[in-house]
Amino acid sequence: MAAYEEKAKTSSDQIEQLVVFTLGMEYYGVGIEAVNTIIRLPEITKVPHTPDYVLGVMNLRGMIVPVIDLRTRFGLTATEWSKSTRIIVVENHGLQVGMVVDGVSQTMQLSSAQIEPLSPLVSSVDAQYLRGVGKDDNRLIILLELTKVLAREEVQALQSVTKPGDMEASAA
Amino acid sequence: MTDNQMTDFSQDEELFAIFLEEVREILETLDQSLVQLEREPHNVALIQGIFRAAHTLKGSSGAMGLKNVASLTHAMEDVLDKVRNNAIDVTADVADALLKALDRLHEFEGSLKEGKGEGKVDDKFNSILSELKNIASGAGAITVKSGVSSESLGKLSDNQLAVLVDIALDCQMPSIRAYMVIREMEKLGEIQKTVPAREQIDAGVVGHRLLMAVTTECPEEIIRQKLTAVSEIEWVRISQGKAASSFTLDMPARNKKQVDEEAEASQVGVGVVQQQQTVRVNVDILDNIMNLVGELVLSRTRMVQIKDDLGEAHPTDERILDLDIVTQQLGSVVSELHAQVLQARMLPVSSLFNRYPRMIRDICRTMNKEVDFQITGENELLDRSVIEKLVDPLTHLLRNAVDHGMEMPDERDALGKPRTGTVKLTAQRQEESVLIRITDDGPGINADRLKEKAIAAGIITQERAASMSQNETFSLIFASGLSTAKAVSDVSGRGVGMDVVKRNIDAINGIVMVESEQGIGTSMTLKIPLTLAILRALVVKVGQTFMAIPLSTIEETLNIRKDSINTIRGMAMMRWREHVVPVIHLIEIMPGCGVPDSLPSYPMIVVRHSDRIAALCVDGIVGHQEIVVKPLGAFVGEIPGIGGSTILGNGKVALIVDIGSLFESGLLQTLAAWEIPADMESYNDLVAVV
Repeated sequence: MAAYEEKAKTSSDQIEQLVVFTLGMEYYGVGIEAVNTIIRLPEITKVPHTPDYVLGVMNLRGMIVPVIDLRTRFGLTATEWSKSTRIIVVENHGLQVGMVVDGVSQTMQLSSAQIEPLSPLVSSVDAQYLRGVGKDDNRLIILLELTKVLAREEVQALQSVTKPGDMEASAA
Repeated sequence: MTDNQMTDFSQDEELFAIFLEEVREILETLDQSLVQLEREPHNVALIQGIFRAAHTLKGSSGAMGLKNVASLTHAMEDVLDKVRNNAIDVTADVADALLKALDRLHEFEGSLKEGKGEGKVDDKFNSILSELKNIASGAGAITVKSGVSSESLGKLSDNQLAVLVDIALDCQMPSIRAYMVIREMEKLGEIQKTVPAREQIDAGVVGHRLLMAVTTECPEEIIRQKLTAVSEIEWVRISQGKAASSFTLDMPARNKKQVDEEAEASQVGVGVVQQQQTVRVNVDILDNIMNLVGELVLSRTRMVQIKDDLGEAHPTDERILDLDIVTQQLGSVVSELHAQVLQARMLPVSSLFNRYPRMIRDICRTMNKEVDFQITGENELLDRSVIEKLVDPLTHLLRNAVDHGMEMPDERDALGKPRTGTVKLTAQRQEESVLIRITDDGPGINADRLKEKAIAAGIITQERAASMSQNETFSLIFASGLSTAKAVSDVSGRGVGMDVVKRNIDAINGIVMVESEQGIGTSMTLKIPLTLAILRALVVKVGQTFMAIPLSTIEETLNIRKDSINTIRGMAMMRWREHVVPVIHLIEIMPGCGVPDSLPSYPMIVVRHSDRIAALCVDGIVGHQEIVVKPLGAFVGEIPGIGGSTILGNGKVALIVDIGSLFESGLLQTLAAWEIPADMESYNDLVAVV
């Protein structure tokens, strides 16, 4: 009877199903319910006058989906794309966006008991993009705050760019 | 019970959506026909149509448990019934009351759409209701004039005839005529009953109409002949036995002229709501189908390419031939499907135009102006998304044409113009566009005053004004500085918000053209593409990126050698026809598209957006294509110079160049004509490329 109650308690404890991916040496997680699909790199069409982390748009089964470079978005150094580079297509508040990541490792479950608030020492990434750290047996998984990652303030800020001269200046 | 019903229905969203759609359609019909009624108060077919519309709405709103809508439509129906029976005339007051009720119905519709139910009964509602009731009951007193509409002969047997006789309305002593008709009829057969009754006729209580139930051996023709021979008898209608019972019950007072009109109307279908075989489809579903068919179009293109590749690789394989036939068949089916889906999204522009007669009538009534508003071409079709975007601009242009533009009747008299001004709204198909034209015979635009104001507002310089063509001058009315200052409203009658009109039309790839002659009138032409979803475009290569330039913006495609481009004030320019146009490689204003190929000469595309022209260099021309426009999405947002994207046959994404935005965002700088150096030396050096 007691064992049963304990089990019930655990299941009422929130379980999160995550897709775990890598950027450099670090592991990141994003809720599986936000992930539409994971694909290899397709051809990406650059869209002018967008922030540098917007790589462009791709044709995802007939839909036009923007692609962002998560490394650039997080201010990490860019790396060459490799065989393991993937695009995780996520959907947040109706916005579908592809995120380029170094590799996708697995899916896993974390209970809320395993998730801790963020400590500044854990990641080099700006804390506003993150919502916590999940502790697995032997590693840390940094959880993304998708709404922030996909926020558009900077996009809007860049729209004021109008003159070609300015563009060249900012590109230089 | 009613409450239960209401809950049931409101839970059934689908049913409610259908109801709302029906309401929308009925109100649209009423919007149009009530205004028409004021002008044609004796158009029987029209009155019947309006009555039916109100009646249908009463029925369905009652069924949905919407008591207020039902009681309002009921009151309208009562008034319309009296109108239909000639018991009351459609005076401006009657029309006003009906239109007020219609406005209230629109409010109901709005609140129902927002899911707020029909809302509370307010004073305004009650006053409209009592106004209608007064009109309807006030009419009761006049009913005598039209006689017997409320009574009937009762049920007739098979061998009886119902004979209806209309006595001329200007007949002074109808009772005498009625008496004479009865005497004639008695010679031909036996009269069982009359309405009004014999005693009443003897007492002189008779309207201009007499109804008799008769048994006779005499042929109908003879009866008609004999009775019509009685002087001041206008019309005789005879109906047999059972068939007559419906005739007696539904017995509107009408005169011969009206009956003829009705017969004519039902033949031609004028003013009669025609029943079509239609199914209501949610717009979202249509949009989805449209998208899917768009994909199909792309897949087909891709398949043709693969087939060609295979054919080159295996020139002897006969299966390639089979594949060729199959892809061709598929191609024609897909094309047809595509055309049909596009068609399904099309609506007649009447759904847009019909809202304006009411608006113009109201403006005229409040301002005491007289305007004859004429609509033609309302059956032309446009994509529904385009129609939605035209509502505001047209409202604005029409309102201006009447409100500010049209002279007062006395003023027109003095000018030797007809007292009643004319405003025409026409639609006309021209290839892949529809031309919508608003023409008025108002005062026209005073070009000189317009220029003065523009100079004062700092929009143009004195020198520029001197060199401006007529067309360039008129396009000044769209300059934002001018319109917000209302500067032109007193001279030209076109004022506030013309820049907004321009912007809205630009947004749907349309063009506005202005023609005007002072004292004669003004004509505004909007050239609108049939659909926004599909564009004909020239696909080009810019660096490593594909771009699509809408054909509607392209004036000419040329090849130009690098060394034939000159520089004026640091800008590359060339001469094209009589213009000096800036030359720019698209890659310069579209950073990130790669590196331009180093070529001795470039393909160059001369593009125009209203009066601004530029030559765009690209690295290669792929060809003309029909492209399906796909938005870049909210994440990317609005990008200056880019109007969306499309997927090409090879699966690659191409960006659609928005020429209007290219100019307006300042990405594409143009020298104004007055900035061309005065010495003209360098101008003359420019190579003329024609």
